[in-house]
Amino acid sequence: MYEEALDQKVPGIYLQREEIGGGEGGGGGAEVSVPALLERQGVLVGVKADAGLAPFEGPGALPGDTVTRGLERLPEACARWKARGASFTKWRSALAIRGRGGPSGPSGSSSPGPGPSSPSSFGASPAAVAANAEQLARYAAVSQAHGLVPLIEPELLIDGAHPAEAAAGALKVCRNFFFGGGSTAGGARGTHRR
Amino acid sequence: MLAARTAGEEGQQRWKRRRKKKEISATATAATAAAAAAASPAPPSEEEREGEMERLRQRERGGGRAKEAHSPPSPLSPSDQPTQEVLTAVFAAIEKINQEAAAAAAAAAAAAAAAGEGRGARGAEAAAAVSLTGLLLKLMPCVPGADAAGPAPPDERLAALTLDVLRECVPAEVPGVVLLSGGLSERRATEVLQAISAERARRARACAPSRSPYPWAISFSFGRALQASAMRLWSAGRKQRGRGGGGGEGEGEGARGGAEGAERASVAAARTAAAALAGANRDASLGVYRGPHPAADADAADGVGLREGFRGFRDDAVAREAAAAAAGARREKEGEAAAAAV
Repeated sequence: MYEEALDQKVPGIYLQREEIGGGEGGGGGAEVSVPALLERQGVLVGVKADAGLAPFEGPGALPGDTVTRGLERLPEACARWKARGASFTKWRSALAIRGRGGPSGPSGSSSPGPGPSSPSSFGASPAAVAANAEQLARYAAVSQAHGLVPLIEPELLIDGAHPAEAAAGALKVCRNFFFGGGSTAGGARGTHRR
Repeated sequence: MLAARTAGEEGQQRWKRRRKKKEISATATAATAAAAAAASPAPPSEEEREGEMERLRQRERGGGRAKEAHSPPSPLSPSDQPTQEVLTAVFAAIEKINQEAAAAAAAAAAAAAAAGEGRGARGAEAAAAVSLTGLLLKLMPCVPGADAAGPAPPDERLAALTLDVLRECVPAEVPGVVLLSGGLSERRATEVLQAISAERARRARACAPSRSPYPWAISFSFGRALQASAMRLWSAGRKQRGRGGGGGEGEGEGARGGAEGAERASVAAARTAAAALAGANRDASLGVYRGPHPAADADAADGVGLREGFRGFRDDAVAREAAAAAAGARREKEGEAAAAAV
């Protein structure tokens, strides 16, 4: 469907796990090899590396907290996808934002405005934020170790009544966490340079 | 992916399922391509790895860019106690990871020393880390919640918020940031991307290119916002064929042929829509999108009928697992009961 669209517009497409094939969840029966099809058109093939979300039930968890599944068998899967021609992967975690009604500062400051006494910008618990950030960092390490570019997606859900400023505040926390965690998760495995 | 769906009967169902669960595949653009192309070569050799290790160690000792990039965020306002609380927890966790990694690296070094020359795979495993230059960040732009009350802030405001956060939080080493469309309509996703690209260009003009605080590529990785119209058009044609083909005895070849023609037309329309959507978003990522938006119809553009509720975990998968576990437990119990009876 995308023959035209792909021309100079969409250089990469990521597939569901079952769509790239290579065992574990099918792909074998498909008449058309999707990765091959994309490669023929010069489109980079990616894979959604995570296996969906699951409730987070650690200490300090709040109702609605989630973590992402699929880290256990990720190294084997990455090796398989690489062999099937993939060049990148994606991992999604999801965090809710707590609604904060208060207006923010007029200056466009990136810190969240003074809000009511909610415990954080997140609807998610601090434990869930930490758990998700760590998962993202570990996923990125595994993916890079297999020569696959990780696309790390800590999605802040649009659900809720929060203003954009609350999203900004929550994003900040999460980003800082990740890059702290990501950069210190143990030195320098990947040497990929731009 | 799209091709697979067009090829297979099950494709349409899968799409429906995913549309509900918001688990559609997405496409990424130039940033992905550039980074993937740069980083897809074979994993680094031992020497390269060691060299990079040394560079990182030096940077950690001597500060410099890496340290700057990962320095704690600017102080939050005193009224922002909540966020500070989260940050405290967050940095405690980082410290823990730090210690773990350092311990693992030390253990690996000790093991390597004990084993003499051979620094085996175990050592490499222990040092697994993340290179900021070899990843892309995919995130939601700063937009109000779907149920937020009051007038929507102007796109310029959303762009400013998003860029402020990116500037403060994303290290310069990261090659690209791709925005997701999570829950935004096709039209809104494009408009927000355009606003961010334009605002970034405006800000970049104010400083020397080499010193831009916005060094990463900004692009899109949309699922629904890139496909919904095309899928809608395509599935309309499928439905028509379903009616034409299953028409029964009274239906002649003419009706069937008409339905097939309609399906062909719908596939063509879907292709055109897919190309137009991709083009609009490419333009928006370059800051040159002008509209009107090519979504198939006003409903698609505004996201009518596409609103989702909780977009969190996949309860279907969880429910399946729970059911399987329960069934297993039941079987076990029955087995025990049977054994007891014997």
